[in-house]
Amino acid sequence: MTEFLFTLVLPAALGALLGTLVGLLPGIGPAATMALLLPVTFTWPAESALIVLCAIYFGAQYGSSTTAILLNLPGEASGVVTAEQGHRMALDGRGGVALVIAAAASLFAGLTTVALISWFTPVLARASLALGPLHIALLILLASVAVVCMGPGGALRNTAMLLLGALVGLIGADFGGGVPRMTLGIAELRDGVGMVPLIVGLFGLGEVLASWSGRHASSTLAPVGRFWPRRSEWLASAPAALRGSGVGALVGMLPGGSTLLAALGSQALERRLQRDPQAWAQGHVGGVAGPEAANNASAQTGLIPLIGLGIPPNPAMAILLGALLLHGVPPGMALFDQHAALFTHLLWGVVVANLVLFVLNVPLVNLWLRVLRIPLQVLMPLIVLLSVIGVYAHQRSLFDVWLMIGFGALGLILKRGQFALAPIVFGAVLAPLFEDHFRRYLMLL
Amino acid sequence: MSPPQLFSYPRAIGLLLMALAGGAALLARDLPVVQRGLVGAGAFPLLLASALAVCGLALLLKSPAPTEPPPHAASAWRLLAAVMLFPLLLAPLGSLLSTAVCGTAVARITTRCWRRALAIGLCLAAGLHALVIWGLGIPLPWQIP
Repeated sequence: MTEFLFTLVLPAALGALLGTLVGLLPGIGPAATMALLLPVTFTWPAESALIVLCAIYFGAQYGSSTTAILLNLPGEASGVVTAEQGHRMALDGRGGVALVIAAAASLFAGLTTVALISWFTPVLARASLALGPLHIALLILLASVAVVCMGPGGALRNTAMLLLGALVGLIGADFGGGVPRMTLGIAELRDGVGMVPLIVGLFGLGEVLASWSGRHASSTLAPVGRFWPRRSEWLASAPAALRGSGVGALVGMLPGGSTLLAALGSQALERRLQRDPQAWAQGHVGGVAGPEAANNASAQTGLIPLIGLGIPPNPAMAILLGALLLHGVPPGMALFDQHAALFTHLLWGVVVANLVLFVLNVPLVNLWLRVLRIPLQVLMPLIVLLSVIGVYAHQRSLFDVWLMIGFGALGLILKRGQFALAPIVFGAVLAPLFEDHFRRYLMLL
Repeated sequence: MSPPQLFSYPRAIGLLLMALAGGAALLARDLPVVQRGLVGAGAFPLLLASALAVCGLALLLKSPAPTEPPPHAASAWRLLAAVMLFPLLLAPLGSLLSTAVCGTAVARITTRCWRRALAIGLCLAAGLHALVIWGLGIPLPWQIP
């Protein structure tokens, strides 16, 4: 019982709490938070570390809906979609209803996708045994094409970002002969560019810098209003949540299929199915339930290609892959052969995290509304210092801090040019994998 | 009549990508492209750098001419300069003071008030050190060397 509490419930609750917080607050995303916590979780049991990191990612999807609905200012990208209908509902005095519907739809999607993960991941892992180096290289190539085609910003821009990330990923010792490549003679670069400074720089510091343009006034909170939905509202939102879960589950498994894309897909579907334009214009529960279910489902089904094939479909999952490898847990069939209990534990952790997130986001919503009153002037220095100290504490390396600042500057420039940053992380993770498998294949010829 | 606006972020990024691709190709030029009849260590970096240079050129040529001046980014760059205070001051001042100075400089930009910025910088530095050192058990060189 104590073990259950310490390795499952507490990590899930901690991750859910942190995730909700980063989802609420603009500036620092779940990937950067996960990257900052990665070194801390190194000494924990593998299952607890993975549950905390997963719960942060899922929690950010839940938390983002609160600011999206009440402030029209989502802390996470996917919340933009919820904000459209959710904030209209809040302005109409139904903010509380939108919050409950959003949390319930997310919970429904979370629990149904756990069933899908538990069934499909071992199937995919077993199928991956039949794959040789060429198949894996081609799969990575296919994933890269999906990232380019599905990401926001257009194919040319996404290709450029993917290639930039791929070049960053190739820095360091070459896999074949250990020859240092593009290291400029810097010893710290022999092992390659670290994921922590890359992700915290791009998604933490870069995001803060890009979003800061001398803002001094924060938006006004819409009233929460009536809290518990009526029967008709439950009935209207249930099919939307079901459809959103389906769309999200599918999109989440695809490389480059972000939570934003899942939410957008679900919203488009709900808008098309809506027969009453007047209800849509005033804020419809289906426009909240669908996208919220979709973003949570897509966040969770990202675990399927990650665990089944070892291919992370988004930057947050790339951090999770890093956590798996740090704990000596290989993805794919080896995970099921050597660490079968870990997978079951992780799934239970996801279930508990979803239940905790529902409690945090519905009965305790007033607590989070107080957090939203922290002025931006305090929040920005906090996020900046958290990024700097977190990256330094990771390996006590000043070089990592300079790298993070460099990636922060790059992130700022790219965000100003409206380039997507996620393909950079894909490139950095997938390029060495592709090169490794492709060269292995050529050796076998 | 005002002079035509030439700077735009997509164009500047196109140029930056071309420069980065050139730099990568320069660094990879001595690596073997073919080694013992197989793909060498230099093949992928050179291939990717060439493709990135083409993308950079396409962005430079295909991005539409800007119709309005780029958004004001001075405060963002000032923020970035303030962040650099941490790595610059860490060795002489230790992590606690360098965090406080960095936090104060960042807060000065966000609050535009020195007194409030100092209070924010000191509180955040102390709070974060307590969290990292005692809460998470990660040692930091907080004292002045």
